[in-house]
Amino acid sequence: MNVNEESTDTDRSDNAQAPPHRALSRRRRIVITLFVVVTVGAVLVQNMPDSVLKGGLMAAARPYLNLTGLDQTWSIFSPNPRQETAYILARVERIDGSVAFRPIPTGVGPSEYWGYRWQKYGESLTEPGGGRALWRPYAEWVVGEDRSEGNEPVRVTLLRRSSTNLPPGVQPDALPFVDRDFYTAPVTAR
Amino acid sequence: MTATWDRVRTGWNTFWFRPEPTSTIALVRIVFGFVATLWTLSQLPTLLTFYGPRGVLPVQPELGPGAWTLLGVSTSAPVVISLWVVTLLGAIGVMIGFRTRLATILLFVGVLSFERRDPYILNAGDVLLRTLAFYLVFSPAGAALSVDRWRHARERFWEFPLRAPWALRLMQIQLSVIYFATLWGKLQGDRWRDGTAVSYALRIDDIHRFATPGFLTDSVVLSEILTFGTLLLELALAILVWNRTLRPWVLALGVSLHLSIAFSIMVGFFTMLMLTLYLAFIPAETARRLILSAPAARRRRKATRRKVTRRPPGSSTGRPPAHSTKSDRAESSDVVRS
Repeated sequence: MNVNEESTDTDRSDNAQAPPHRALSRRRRIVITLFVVVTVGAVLVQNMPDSVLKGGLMAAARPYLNLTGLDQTWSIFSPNPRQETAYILARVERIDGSVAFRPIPTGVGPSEYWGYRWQKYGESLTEPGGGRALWRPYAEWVVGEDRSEGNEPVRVTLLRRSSTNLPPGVQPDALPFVDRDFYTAPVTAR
Repeated sequence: MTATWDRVRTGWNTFWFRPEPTSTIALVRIVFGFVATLWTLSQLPTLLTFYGPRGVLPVQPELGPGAWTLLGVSTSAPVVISLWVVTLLGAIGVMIGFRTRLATILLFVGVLSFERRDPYILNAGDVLLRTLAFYLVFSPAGAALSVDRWRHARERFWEFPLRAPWALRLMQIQLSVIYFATLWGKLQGDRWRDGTAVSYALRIDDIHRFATPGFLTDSVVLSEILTFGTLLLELALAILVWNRTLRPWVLALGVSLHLSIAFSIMVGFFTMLMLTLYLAFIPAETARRLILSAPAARRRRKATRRKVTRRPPGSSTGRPPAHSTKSDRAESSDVVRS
């Protein structure tokens, strides 16, 4: 398409009174076309249903998506919303015999705009498979926080406190909260 | 065959390259820059906790093929803080349109680096922030309503140069992709298919600001209406947003969906960024009218006109322009007059 043709496009546009504009050169259009085809193609591949075809195409698309930061999943409340309320706590036993519970520090109000990261971190901690690598660093961080307040922790335990929600229309609508320890370790002296 | 090919080629060129006033992308840039600034500021209270060497993730997790982060080189506190400052400056630069191209690149690199450093704390809003930052890098985001525009063509500040909208189109396609993907994901779930999903979602107390009233969550009929209504709306948003007549209606319904989610559920910056993405669908002419009808814009346009009329004949600005480039001169006819 040459420049004259493009000017005609503009005349047909919604903005018919607009004066002529500078055109993109043919070479730039070709480069941009290649870029948008690759970009949209890679994004579509990542978002297509899980399949053998997707698996094959992702091998080519993944490096590009990772490089450009366009890797994405939009599993918002899907495939199912979580069917329980869950909190992550650290139980810290101290040398003086006292026990403290330190929850993941989420909050309501302005703090929720950084608290949501803690909330996601809490979900990551108990994700099947992936969370295990985070347990020890998190436990060490909790111990550090407790020490910074002048305490002497001797054991730290990470636990998940959850309550299963029942289907709508059933009373009560949730089961009682249950604690499940998923990591425990003694604390060595500094 | 040739006629078909010509039609396809013309359609392609029209969709991606037919120049449009830059009012829409300017609006997207300003709002996105504002949200990105808030996002960056919100990192401060937990900056070293999530990204530092003594935080909850002292060692950089393994990155996939092609993935990168500037914090892969060092996670020492000075490096993390320096990157945060650069990201904040980038976000502010995007918001006000100061050295816009550079600002978008700094913002993108900063956001990507932080998100790769600790991928365990991300929600959909963070992913959308990164995605939009990438698209914005390639857009003429600073062409209008920006400090750049003020510096280079002050007397034409309230005008919107025509530019090819291909980066804006990528954002628009992204919106459809999000709704298609989330709809497909939901259709794989039993709870969405049996109509109880919204009732369950409204009872996850750890992500709610307040307990949802029982009449909303206990009623099976209400839950089914809300669940199937959500699926229907997401389908409509994915497809009908491309129809000019129906677009305002589906977007209005989408706004109400996202605001109702944000009202009760703590979703971080997700709602703000989705609504920012909606702005990409505002027609350029509507965006232009919207911007120029703002009281502050009207006052300043009048002031600019007064200044221009007072200038001596033959002088365009009354003083030598800060940047008198060939492209600036050429642009004088490439604008939609305000």
